[in-house]
Amino acid sequence: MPSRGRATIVGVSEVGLAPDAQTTALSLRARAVAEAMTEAGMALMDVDGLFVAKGGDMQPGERPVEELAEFLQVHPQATGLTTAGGCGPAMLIEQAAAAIEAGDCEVAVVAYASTQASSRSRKPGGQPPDANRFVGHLERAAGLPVPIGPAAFAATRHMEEFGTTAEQMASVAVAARHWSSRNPAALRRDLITVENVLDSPMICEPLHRLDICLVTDGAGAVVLTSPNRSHGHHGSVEVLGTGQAHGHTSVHHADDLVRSVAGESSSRALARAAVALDDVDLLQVYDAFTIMPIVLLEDLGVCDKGEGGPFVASGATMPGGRWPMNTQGGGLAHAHPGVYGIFQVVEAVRQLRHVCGDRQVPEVEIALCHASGGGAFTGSQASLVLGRVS
Amino acid sequence: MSQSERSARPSTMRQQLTDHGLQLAYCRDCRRHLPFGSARCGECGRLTEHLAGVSGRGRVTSWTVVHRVMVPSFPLRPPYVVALIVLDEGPTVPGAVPDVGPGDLQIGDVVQLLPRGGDQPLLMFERGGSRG
Repeated sequence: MPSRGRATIVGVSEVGLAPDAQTTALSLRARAVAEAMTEAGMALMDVDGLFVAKGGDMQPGERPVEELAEFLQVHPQATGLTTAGGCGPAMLIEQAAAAIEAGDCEVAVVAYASTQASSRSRKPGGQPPDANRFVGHLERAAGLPVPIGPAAFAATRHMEEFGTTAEQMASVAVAARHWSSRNPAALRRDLITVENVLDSPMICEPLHRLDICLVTDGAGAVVLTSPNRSHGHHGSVEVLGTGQAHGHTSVHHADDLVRSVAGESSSRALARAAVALDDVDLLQVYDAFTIMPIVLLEDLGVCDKGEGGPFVASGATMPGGRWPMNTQGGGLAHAHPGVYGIFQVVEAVRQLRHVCGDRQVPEVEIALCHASGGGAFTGSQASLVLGRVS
Repeated sequence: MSQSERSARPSTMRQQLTDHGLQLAYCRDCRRHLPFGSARCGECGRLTEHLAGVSGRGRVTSWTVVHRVMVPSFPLRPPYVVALIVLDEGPTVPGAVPDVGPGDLQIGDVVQLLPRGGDQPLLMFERGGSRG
């Protein structure tokens, strides 16, 4: 069967989730690229496209793409860097697929790494407002922590407008553990209850400690190539459609705290893939805070606006549910080194290869990965539709 | 140019939050204030280089209580309330509301920007204040 996709994913990796004070983000990023290239059955010298997502712990003056190329001794002819946070990797996969389609490169790697846990550069709920960002001064003047403050604003507003409850938000964290308990690589595998979430310390009302993603190290990489070059490659996954949409990066620019442009992004990706939402077998939906997938599931059209709370509490995203979501445990239970988007793709590829053991979703053919980023989670959005090569 | 209206270039938080209150970018053609961090009028599409003062009155659209996250050099110690406030002039800003306890602030409450005092830019509001 001829490929339907614009580009094909032939290798993925995730490395270094456990803290290691001896490592650096650059060496983790390099390790991730090397492992993904090995999995793809390719040599590092084959890399001619290099795309890196920037994390919050990168230093001003750092040149993540060029330094990685030098570290690996590769010489790309197409490159990209994103600063959009969580959705950066999905945006870069779109860029890499376009570069492959245009003939600018043939073997592209998208990579992300952070040692934010080992370096103690980030705390649960985020960093202090960044004085290097223009609007960071406004947030500092108001005492608003970012990104947890904007997420808490969204949660308060969602509760007010739709009657969403703390228990319903907690059920997102509970579902994450049901998945992560089946994933040997996940960093939090113990099952928890709604009560455990509500009893955990309040960080930024109404968000408790267990409503917030983990703070971990980690790196991931995704290798893409042309459908022609991947022909016959075992375990390849097609990039069927990509989309992005950008709202705002600062919460005070939001027209609406509980409506994002996620639907614009996912509609574009689904249309390009010629896939209906109902055809999707697996969801990866960004979960930096429990309120986030509630809003995003509504905006993606998986449930009606305002129904996200009852929807997640119904178990629809749990093992056995119609909409299996974040099957590795997501950012709430698997890992969260600042930018989680790369791990969404790694897991979706493994699910589409049908190699996920206890957590394998039966007969997965189509996955939708959706990530948000850029400070306020109703801001930047990026979506990927990935398909199993039959 | 009135006393509360001046050139917006270059613009920092310290310059925009003065003893006269909060100044935001202002389109003189459309007589509209723009959100902090924006310089293009959503009405006429022109870029503006002017700042103009706002009343400081607004209404709470959401709120949170910060319990365990530290914001460097911010003088309030957790727990404290931070609200998102739609100013009477249209733009939204975040601001701490130090005079209310956790759970006391409601969406829709009217708040007023407090005089700044000191050199540090601080966006702090009090509940109440007459609507202009």
